[in-house]
This record gives sequence, C-alpha cells and structure tokens, in this order.
Amino acid sequence: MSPELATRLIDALGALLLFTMILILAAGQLYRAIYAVAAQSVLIALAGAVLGATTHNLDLWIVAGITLLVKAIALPWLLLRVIRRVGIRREIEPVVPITATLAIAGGIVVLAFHLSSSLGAVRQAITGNALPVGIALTLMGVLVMMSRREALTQMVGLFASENGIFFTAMAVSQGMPLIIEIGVVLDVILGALVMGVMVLRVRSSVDADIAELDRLRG
Amino acid sequence: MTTLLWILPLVPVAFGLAMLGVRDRRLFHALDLASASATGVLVVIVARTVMRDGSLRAAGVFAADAVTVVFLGLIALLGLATAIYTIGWMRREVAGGDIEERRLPAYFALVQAFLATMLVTVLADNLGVLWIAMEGTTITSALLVGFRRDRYGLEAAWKYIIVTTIGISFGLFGTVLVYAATAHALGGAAAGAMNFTTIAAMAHRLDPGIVRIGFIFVIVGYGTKAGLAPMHMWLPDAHSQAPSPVSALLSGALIKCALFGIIRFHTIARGACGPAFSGRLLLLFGLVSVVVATPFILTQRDLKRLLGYHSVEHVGIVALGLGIGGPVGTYAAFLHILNHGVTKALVFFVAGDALGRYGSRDMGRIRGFLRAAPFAGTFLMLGAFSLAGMPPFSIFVSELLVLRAGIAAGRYVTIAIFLAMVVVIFAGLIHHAGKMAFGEPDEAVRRGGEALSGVLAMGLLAAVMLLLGLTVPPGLDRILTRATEVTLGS
Amino acid sequence: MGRATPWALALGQMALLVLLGPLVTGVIQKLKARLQCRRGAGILQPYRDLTKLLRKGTVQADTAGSFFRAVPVAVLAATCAAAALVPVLFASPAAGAASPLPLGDAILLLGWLALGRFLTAVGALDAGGAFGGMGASREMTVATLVEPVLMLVVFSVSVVAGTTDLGAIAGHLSLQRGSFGAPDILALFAMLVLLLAETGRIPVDNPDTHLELTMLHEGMLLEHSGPGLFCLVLAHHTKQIVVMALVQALFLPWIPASTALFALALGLGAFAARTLVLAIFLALVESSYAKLRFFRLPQFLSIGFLSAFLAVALRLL
Repeated sequence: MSPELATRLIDALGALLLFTMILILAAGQLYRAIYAVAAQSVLIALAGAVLGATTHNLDLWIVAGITLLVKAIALPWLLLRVIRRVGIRREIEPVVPITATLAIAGGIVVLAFHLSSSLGAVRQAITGNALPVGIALTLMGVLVMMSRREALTQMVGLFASENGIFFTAMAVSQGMPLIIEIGVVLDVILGALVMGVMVLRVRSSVDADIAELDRLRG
Repeated sequence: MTTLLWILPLVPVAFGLAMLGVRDRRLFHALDLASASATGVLVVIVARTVMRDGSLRAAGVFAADAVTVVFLGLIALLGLATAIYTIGWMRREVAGGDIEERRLPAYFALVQAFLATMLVTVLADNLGVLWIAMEGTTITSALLVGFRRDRYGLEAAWKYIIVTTIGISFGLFGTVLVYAATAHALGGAAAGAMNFTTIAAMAHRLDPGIVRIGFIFVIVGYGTKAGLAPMHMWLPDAHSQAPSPVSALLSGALIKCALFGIIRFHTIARGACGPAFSGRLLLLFGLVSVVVATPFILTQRDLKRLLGYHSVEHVGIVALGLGIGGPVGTYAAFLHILNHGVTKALVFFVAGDALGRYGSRDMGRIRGFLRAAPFAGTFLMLGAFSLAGMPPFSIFVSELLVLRAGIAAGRYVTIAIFLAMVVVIFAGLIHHAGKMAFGEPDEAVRRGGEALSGVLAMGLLAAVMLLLGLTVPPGLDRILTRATEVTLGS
Repeated sequence: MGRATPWALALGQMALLVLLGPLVTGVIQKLKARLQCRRGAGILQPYRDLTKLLRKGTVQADTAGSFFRAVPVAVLAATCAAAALVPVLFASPAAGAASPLPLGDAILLLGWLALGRFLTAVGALDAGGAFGGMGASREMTVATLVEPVLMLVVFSVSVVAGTTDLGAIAGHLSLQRGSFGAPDILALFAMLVLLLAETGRIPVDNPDTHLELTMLHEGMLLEHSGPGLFCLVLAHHTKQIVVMALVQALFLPWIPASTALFALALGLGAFAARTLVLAIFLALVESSYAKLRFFRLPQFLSIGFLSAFLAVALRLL
C-alpha cells in the first residue's frame, strides 16, 4: 500500500473516529453509545491494518485483530448483556448538559491540535492527522467518563479513551511493542469485567446505579 | 541471579493459587506467613546483590537498582506485618460475621495477587510493564476495597476504580509520548525504547518538548494513583472502606508504588529537560496536597478517613522532597517513603482494632482506648505522635530533612507553608488521639483480650519506626544514598 | 472552468428548480407512504394542491395590513433568487463574476434563504395570532443554531476551492474528484443534519402535521390563504430543492462544464439521480425516527455544529 493512500485512508478514518466520538458524547440511549464505541473499535482495527500493510509490520496486524475481537465484539457484547440484566435504557440527564459537553468537546479538539503541533517532532508523516485525532479521542473519552452518571456510559468512555491512546501510539511510533499492547488490552478486559461485576452487584443489592452513590463525603 | 527477579513476583502468585483450594483457616494464615517470609528472604538477597553489583537486569523486562530495593523492602516488610496482623483480625471478623468463611480463599488469594502486582510494578524496567502492573494493582485492590459488598464499600470501590483508571489512562498517554521520543531519538522503533535503563541513559538526547508534555500527563496520571491533590478524591473513601489490613497495604505500599512510577519519569525528565521543570511540577503538586489535606484532617470524624487524608498529606511531602531536589531532598523523599509506609500501616492496624472493639469508626465514639486495650492504645499514641512528626520517631527525621533541603535550596515560602501545615496537623492529630486514648471506655466495649498476633505485628512496625527515628542503619543509609544517586542521574 | 455562466442558463436553472420543487416533495411523500405500507397520493399531488390554492380567495386577519399581503410574494422572490445562485446543470463562475455584484456567491445564497425565513416569521407575527407567534419564535430559535453551522460547512468546503462562489466550488470539486477528504465526511454529516433542519422534516419538524403545538414551519403559514399561501408553499418546495442542490454542489458534484446540449442533458440526468438519492434519504429518516421534543432540538443541532466545527478544524489546523 502506498504511503499516500495510507495517509488518505488514515485521515478519513480519523474523521470517522471523531464522528463516532460525537455520537458517544451525544448519545441519549445507552445502547447507541455502545454501538458507537463498537464501530469506533472497528475503525481503529482498520487503521491498524492499514498502517500494518504500509509498514509491513506484523505486530500491527495482530493488534488490529485483537482490537477487533475484543473491543469491537466481546466488550460491547458484555456491556449489552449487563444492560439486559440490569434493565436500564435511558440515560438520565448527565452531570453536564449535553450541549455544554459538545461545546467542551469542540474546545478539546482545538486543544488537541495545539498539543500535536508541539509534538511535531515525533509525528509520523505517514499517519497524517492521526496524532491530533488520537489526543482528541483520549481527552473526549475522559470527558465522557467525568460527565456521565451512568456507570456503563463511564465504561464506554473508558473504552473510547483507550482507543484514542492506541491511535495516538500508532501516530507517533507505529504502535507500542506487541507485548505491551496485548497487556493493555488484557488490562482493559479485566477492568471491564470487574466494573461489570460491580455494577450488577450494586443493582441487585441496593437497587441504584453505582455511579449515583454519593454518601461518602468530607 | 537474574532469575531471582522473575521468581520474586511469582512467589505470591504461587501461594495465592494454592490458597484458592484451602479450607482450613489456620492453613490460610500459615501460607500467608510463608509467602511473606519467602518474599522477605528473596528481597534481602536481591538487595544484597544489587548493593554489591550495582544493578540487576533481566531480559529488558525487569530490573533492580537501589530505588527498586527501597520499595521492595517496604512491600516485603508491610506484607509480613500484614500477614501477622491478619491472623487475629480475621478471627475477629469471621467470629463477628463480617466476613463469611467461604469467601476466605478469595480474600487471601486477592491479597497475594495484589502483592504480586505491586512487586511487578517496582521491578519493572519496561515502562509498559510498569503501566500494566499498575492497572493490575488497581483491579485487585478494587475488588478488595469492595470486599464487604455493602453500599459504602461498593461506592468507594467504584469511585476508586473509575478515578484511578482515568488517571492511569493519562499515565499511559505520557508513557506513549516518552516512548515515541525515545524511538525518535534512536531513529526508528528499536527494542528497548521502552526500557527505563535505556531511556535514562540517553535522556539528554530526547526532545525536551515532548518529554515535558509526557511528564505532565504522567504526573497527573500516576499522581492520581498516588493520591496527589487535586486528584485525591478517591483516596479517603477507598482507604477507609477497605478492610483494615488492606488499608494498611493501600496507604503504606500502593500509593508509594505509584510514586515509584513518578520517580522513574522524574529521572527521565531531569535528563531531558533539566532539573527545573519536573522539580517545579512536583513541588507544586506536593504543596497543594499538603495544603488541601489539612482542613479535612482537622474536621474529620471518621478515623480511617482521617488516616486517608493524612496519607494524601504525606504523599505531598514526598513530592515536596523530590521537587526541592538535590541530594538531601531526594534522600529525604526516599526516607519518608519508608517511614510513612511503616507508620501508616501501624496506625491502620490500630484502627482495625478500634473498629473491631468499638464497632464504629467515629472518633467521637472511641474513648478510653488505653484502658480497653492497653497495647493497642499505646501503639495508638506512639503512632499518632509519629504521624504528627514528633521525635524520636521516624517521620520527624524525614520531615526535618525535607525542611533542611528546602532552606538550603532557598525555597523559603514553600517551607513556611509546609511548616505551618505540619504544625496545624500536629495539633489536630494529638488532639484526636488524646481524646481517643484517654478517658473511660463505654460499658459495652470489650476490654482486654488483645490478639497476640496483632500486638506482634504492631510491635514489629513500631520497633522499625523507633529505630529509624533514632538512627539510619548504615546498610539502609547506603541503599538510600545509592537510590538518590540513581534518581538524580549521577 | 473558463467561461462564465450565461445569464440565460442561470435563469433557466432557476426556473427548473422552481418547477421541479413540488415534484421532489411529491416523490418524498410517495416514498414515505410506501414505507408505511400505504398507497399514498400521486407524486404530482403537490402541483394539484398549488393550483387549488391559486383559485381560492384570500382571508386575512383584521389586525394584519398590506405588509402581511406583501410577505408571501417577497418570500417567494427571495427563494427564487436563491435558486438562481445554485449550479445545477452547469458549473462555473456566475455570469458577471467580474462585476461588482457577487452573483453565485454561497454566502449570498445563505443570505437569501435567511431573508425568506425572516420575512415568513415577521409575517406570522404581523397576523397577531398566538400560533403564528409561537411558530415564529421556534423557527428563529432553530435558525440561530442552523445558520452558523451552514456557514461553517460552506467555509470548510470553500477553503479548498479558494472561493465562495458556488459554481467555482462545484467546478473545482468536479475536476478533482479525489479530493473528498477526511474533513468532508464530517462536513457532509453536518450538512445532512442541516438538510433535515432547513427542509423542516422529522426529527426537527413534522411537515405532515397541522397540530399547532408540534409544528414550526406550518405554524407560521397558518394565517395565510389563497394566493399568499400558494407563494409560501411554493417557496417552501423551492427552498427544499435549493438546499438539496446546495448539498450536491458542495459534496457530490459531477457537473459538466460545457454548455453543449448533450452535456446539459447529462447534467440534468445526474442532478435528478442525486436528488432522488437525497429524497430517499429524507424519506427513510422521516419514517424511522420520531420528532424530537423542542427542547431537545439544540442537542441534536449541536451535533451538527460540532461536526461542522471539527470539519473546519481539520481543514485549517
């Protein structure tokens, strides 16, 4: 695959990734956010595959495959199962109103571009716009985690943030060493499992959403 | 010798797996003690080897230098003390119905897993492995924090896991940036670009702008895990709701492991951007932590939450020491890591006793501790004096060193604020401890009947505390000096 | 892309759009009916409705004056002027590009459409009815969110072409088909959200309802009747097809650049095909979603805003 084609593809994928991130930020219903993050992971896997094809780096192909299996299929399926068990559908009005969240997201994108210009030295020409998009994805994932009261949406934000970090790693250094990538994915899986268990436990014992508990103060 | 580095974290894992199949409670404690002892012995051997040979390296994944030895020693010591303390504590918990017998294998196995992940964290040479192990500690300890499954425990566990995972994501981001800078300086992704030893050796060749941004992300990220303000919100909840031995490990060892990560990146940042940048950031966060924690300490009613905020303050002091820098400041930081770890664990053990005896963490309800439990009460007073920073206990020494370093570096405003906070906290702590220790206990409180194991564990830690307050043994002094040199990159 | 569009061709394009507007509406209605398993009225039904309106007399509220009678004509004139600016069959800088008047300019187009909207709202207020006032205020609220996004979308595309002249943009994009880049995906998404808002379709507004509380556009038309209503309904159809043509000019241009008859026929066929695709899109969206409650509209529209903003950011940064 020629570098120019790879750059154009990764640019297009970056735009689509931002688009899915907007969908996650503005999602009114939980399952929409989950589908959006699944689509996002598919796009990330595609980007990894494109970069792998251009640089003939087998590691990237493997990571792309793992991302596809785990973050696009397994984890969203896990979240959907938890939803079905728990029976929540609608997102309660989040801590920060959605319009304000979207405005902050716009600010985050500007910040991301500003940051990526300072990181210009390590930016790889081949990946085009990937660095600012990756930074923006990471920060917007954190925004979702901080601005939502629904535990499962916070988990979706976590997955989105990890996607962003992976995209950034691709943009600055053709991904991290394979072992590390696998370790990171494992950690995300374990974390998701533990969080899912906690959500279910709180639902069954206290009949409230875990992220809404706020008795501990001071 | 390098195989030792691989065996060391595997010891708790092996024992943990063995514990999953055990039923008899005494066997649990036996295995626990065996694991702690084996770890301790291995740590001593590793320490000896490192001091003799300089450093140990294993296949680019693990490495042990003097800094590692400091943390290994702390983890091993606290692991041993906790194992001893748990004997009596668990008996009380099971008898009181707080923990069911059938969940014991899970508890002990989780504690072993927790210890193993902490060991991997401080042994890691590869920054990616460091991150993975840190996330592993979050997962295992979150399960332990929420072990009691009551509403507050789960709330604390959720806040803990979400906030620290957010923080750790920032840490990963910073790691990626540093890795990119190294790979760029090496001219393409080379193996070893993620290894601390490699990066530290070529730190001066790294692009300073990138390392600066990476360090900012790292200090926010790993600082969340360490409990630096303003990212400390989860700490009082998690450390107060966890079972007391776990709280001791969390406050004593885990937040120090997060500091380990910061120290490693501090070394890299010093090499790449000069000592001023990272030092100033550490100073800022440290000062903010000390100042933010103080009012919460004064107005606190929950004993373990008080100790949690106190940990925030002391992590701030370590950051202050590192930020002031120089040989004295960094030495003081390492010494303080040890001193605070030991003392905080001691006081958490006492708190566990108090909780079991009085059935409440509310300090207003805890009265007459000295009469109800003479040994534990004495340790309460000793621990409180030490935490407040009184001689002849260890924390006084390290705080004094930080003070000296600050004055020598000309940071008068910082030191003034630091002193003011320390004085205020001193007064507050002594007041709280005095109210708890003296007076007459309530009729319903059980007197006497202190578990021997608890007394032993507390005594062990108190002895170390006293020893380090009176003098620093030459062996330890050598280790700390060497650790300082490694961190300052000389 | 050399010669300017001859005046005749520009006026011819305008007439074409005005005439075809109701047909597009008819097609969308038919598609929706089919999707809802109904037969539906024929696709020429809007024409019949329009001629019916012409035959009727005008009834006007006592409080409305001659301004009220003038509004429909002015709105239709403004919308037709907008129709003249959009390249349909022929893409090149507008006639008189060297002249002092900015003909063919995208911003002028947006201005004409905004003028039409403003006049409709003012006319509704003039009648003094409660529904007119409510419809007008809602329409203006939507306008505050929609107009800036339109501007952003136009900017993000015109940055590449170097000009805001729609003919030039379309010609430029036709020649360089491969330059549909990453920011254009986001801009296209924003534009599709805007298409729903400007044409007054679900989920922004329900064009089929005449319940006062649920409509934006229809509320403003309530007081008009007869020829006045004819003008306003025709203007609505024209606005719809003009916005569709705008979408095509900005994002889907395959417009020939010569005035040969064969090329023009080809252009007409291409335009028809693309409009059909957009009509299918609108029909699908209308049949799949429910109308948003009014206070949720800002959230929906700010998704479009953020997309457009990101598109501009990606272009410029």
